[in-house]
Amino acid sequence: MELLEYQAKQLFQQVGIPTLPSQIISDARELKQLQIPYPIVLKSQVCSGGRGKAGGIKPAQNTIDAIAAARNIFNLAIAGQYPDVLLAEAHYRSQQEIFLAVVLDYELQRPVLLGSAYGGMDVNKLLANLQQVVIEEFFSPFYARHLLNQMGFSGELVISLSQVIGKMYDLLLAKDLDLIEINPLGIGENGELMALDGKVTAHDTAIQKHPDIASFGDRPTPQSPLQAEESNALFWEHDIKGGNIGIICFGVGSAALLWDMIHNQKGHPACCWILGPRAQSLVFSPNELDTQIMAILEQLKTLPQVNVLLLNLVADEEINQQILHYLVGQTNQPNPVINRAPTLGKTPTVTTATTQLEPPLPEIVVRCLPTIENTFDSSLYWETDLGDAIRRAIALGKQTEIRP
Amino acid sequence: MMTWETNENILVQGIDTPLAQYYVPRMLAYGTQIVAGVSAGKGGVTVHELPVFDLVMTANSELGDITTSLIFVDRFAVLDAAFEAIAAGIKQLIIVSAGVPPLDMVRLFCKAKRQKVRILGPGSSGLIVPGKLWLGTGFVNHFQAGDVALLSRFSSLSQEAAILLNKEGLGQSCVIDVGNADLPGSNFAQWLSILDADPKTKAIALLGRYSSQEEIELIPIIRDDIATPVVTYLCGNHAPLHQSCHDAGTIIANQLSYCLSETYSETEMAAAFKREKLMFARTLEDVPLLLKKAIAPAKSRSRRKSKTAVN
Repeated sequence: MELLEYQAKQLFQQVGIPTLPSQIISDARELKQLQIPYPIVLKSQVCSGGRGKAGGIKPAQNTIDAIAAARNIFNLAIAGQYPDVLLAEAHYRSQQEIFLAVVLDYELQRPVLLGSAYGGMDVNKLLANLQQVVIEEFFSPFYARHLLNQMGFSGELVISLSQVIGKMYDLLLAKDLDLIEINPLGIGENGELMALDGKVTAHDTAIQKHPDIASFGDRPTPQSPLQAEESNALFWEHDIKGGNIGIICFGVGSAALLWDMIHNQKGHPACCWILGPRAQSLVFSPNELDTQIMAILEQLKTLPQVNVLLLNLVADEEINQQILHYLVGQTNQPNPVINRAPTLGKTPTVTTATTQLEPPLPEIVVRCLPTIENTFDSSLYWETDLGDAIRRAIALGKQTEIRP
Repeated sequence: MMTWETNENILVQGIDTPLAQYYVPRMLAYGTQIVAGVSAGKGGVTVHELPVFDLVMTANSELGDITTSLIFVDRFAVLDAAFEAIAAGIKQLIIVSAGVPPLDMVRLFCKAKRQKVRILGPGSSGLIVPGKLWLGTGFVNHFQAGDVALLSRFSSLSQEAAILLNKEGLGQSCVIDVGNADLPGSNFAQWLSILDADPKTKAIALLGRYSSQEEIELIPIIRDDIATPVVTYLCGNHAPLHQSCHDAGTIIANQLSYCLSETYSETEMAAAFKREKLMFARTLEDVPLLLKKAIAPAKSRSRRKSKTAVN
């Protein structure tokens, strides 16, 4: 999970990394009650880079300027995101701007200190001068001094900068972060330091472990399967662009395999439901399976383009039977399930008009090995070979597409 | 070199968790010699006819040398459980719990390296010797004894591979899931060398994923260090699997310039393996065919050294 700049700065304040006086603005009118003196800088709070270039950061000399600028920024999408809040921050004049980061290096399996004597927006210059020091076992300030030496710093600044690096490292450990970055870190005339912008990425596990990080909001990192698996019962991947085959299977590897095989045979997967326990430490209970299948069928209603369901059953016999039982139990109804809702004591307001709009249920191809007991309705397509099942699903998908 | 003992005397830490409750009787029924469980505060009770201890140290001293501990505890307690096992002198850990914070793993690696402790996982469905030993979770119903080792990132992919292998009469000597962690306790390279030294394994099927740096880096290892034939299959070329993690410099560069990290297409990956004359399966169906070819008696023009020549 990537935190917004103002949230990152709240963490900085907790460990004593200097930040400017600032205020969070959720409506342009709030600028009339601004507590910090002008001139200020207004910054769009979105998790995206290049805010400055995109026009998401604007200076303001007075209230009138600030309100106009704020309205402008609220209406500006950066990489598709509109800000919920802006950060109004005091203006700061720095003599030099540098880059500092502490990152967990997954290849080295160690935290790494990174620094560049050229911070700010000139990314190429920053990267060309990027220095790195790997932390072995435990952090000690000498690692920071090594980094600063490589960056070309000497004298008093080394002491104050190494303190900031130490605090960044403490924060990384304390909050299970993947990355903590200050770019730029402003160095003022008298050598005072100021974190002018900050980026913090918390590992998915940090959200459960640290309630303060979780309270920072519900903005999950895009494409984070682990998180998706935990927040919902199902991990759902989809390709809305014309895919018509829905996949139900166990395990990410199986999902990836089926997805690839469908692609290789010029088919179009639409989405994939990976059945599994809600939390990693739990096991599957039949009740959960039921809930997940029901959720899939609910979701199917919103995906009329899915005209074939490919069900891959290679789990335990017991679980295979349960999945089939639940799925077939729901799809075998002569009329859409929703028709029966009043008798089940749920949503009695359902009218016939809405049920007529129900999309037809997709064709179902079941792939399972011959050991499974086939006591189910013959309207399902049964295949033992995965390749055959996929060919069948693609063929059925095309047939249904042609149908008026 | 990392080695792995597959013998008896197995401990289950967190034996009272739902996951362990479900799998322990199944592992026992499979023939796995689990001797005890550990659960703080539950010492003295019996679970599935196994004695439960409060401390790993007590279990170890009362039951003799425990070779392996299966860790089922809550992911935030994994580091503590692993430290406890290491302190009690256990040298092999299988971490079944998934979602262990990476920084906990960093701390664990430091200790494990010093004490020469071997780790499989976290988030691993474990290690299976078909018909004999089942250490972990997942489904074992499709595995049959034989001489092909399956080394994978995904237990469900191993299942699918085993189904195809069985059809061709190729059973499995060992099935290993390195797990789904961003920071795994052991990697493909380490397991390749263990499997290479295993006399029961005649060939290895390596089941990885596209756009993973680790798989690319295996090429010189398979070429130079592994005498056993290795057939590689990678999945996820089209699937929306999330990006693999990289080194710190790349993370920063990606973050600042917002370009996607470099990935390799199917063709590039296949070319990279074939350039070194390594066996690369474009589809999972090709895996058994290539394995059969690899296991067949070596022709004189074969450049690959036979395993017996090495030993």
